[in-house]
Amino acid sequence: MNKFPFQVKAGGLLQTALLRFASKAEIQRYHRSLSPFARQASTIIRDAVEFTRLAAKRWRYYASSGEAAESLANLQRKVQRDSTCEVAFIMVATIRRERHDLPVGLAYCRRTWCHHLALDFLALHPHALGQRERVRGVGSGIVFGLVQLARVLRIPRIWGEATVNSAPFYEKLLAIRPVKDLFIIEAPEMAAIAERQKKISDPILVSPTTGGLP
Amino acid sequence: MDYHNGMTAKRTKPVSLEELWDYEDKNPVVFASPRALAEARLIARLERTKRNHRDAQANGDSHRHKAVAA
Repeated sequence: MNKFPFQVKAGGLLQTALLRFASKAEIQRYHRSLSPFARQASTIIRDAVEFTRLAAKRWRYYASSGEAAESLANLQRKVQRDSTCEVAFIMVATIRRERHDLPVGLAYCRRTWCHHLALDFLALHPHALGQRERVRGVGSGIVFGLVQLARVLRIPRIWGEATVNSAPFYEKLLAIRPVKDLFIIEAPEMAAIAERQKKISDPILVSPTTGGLP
Repeated sequence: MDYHNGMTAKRTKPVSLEELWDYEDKNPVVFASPRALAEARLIARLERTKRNHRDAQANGDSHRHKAVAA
């Protein structure tokens, strides 16, 4: 239940990517995997590196005061103990490459005091942005993974601050216009996002026991 | 309450996954909430200050106290 699958296209082929809770060690590994890209000239890759590094620092800061989760069970325990607690967590998306998992993106989220999910960072890994082998569909796939997570936790709303760069993406993803500085994903949008993925997914993805798709 | 129905935002024709992926190819998904980004930068600066302070102590730098003129 810690893993939420979604479809991407890599090298022209459909492939299942997995979104899962990142442990401290995984966050460090992800962080280290950014080093070769840190000096790239591309602004978007530099942003991807910077946002990810800052998200990791922010997670560590929350973790130092016990306000971060490293697994679904960990998050559920914290919420059971205190229903109004605010918990930060990072979800990492990976695809299988030869014998290892290749990171392709991450989402930094917070479970807020009123049981909503705030999405603070959503960034592709430079691996997924490469000109040589671009991995398609990681951004919308991660959001689909978060929808699956929200359904497992019975979270009714995913929200976040939209910027001038991200608003058009959310307009397309949610089929709503205009999206200004706030985007909100509730039951109708969650259903539409799941439906869109269902059209190309392996039947195993749509089993109610694996991800809660309708 | 359906939040979007209560706002001025209108529902538009849903795009297919392929169209969405085409959009993502041209406009890479690298987003951060401005508030979260500001907070994270502040945390990073705090960490740097603490580390510099620790390094200075480890290197044997003593605290300087202002001399008080009698």
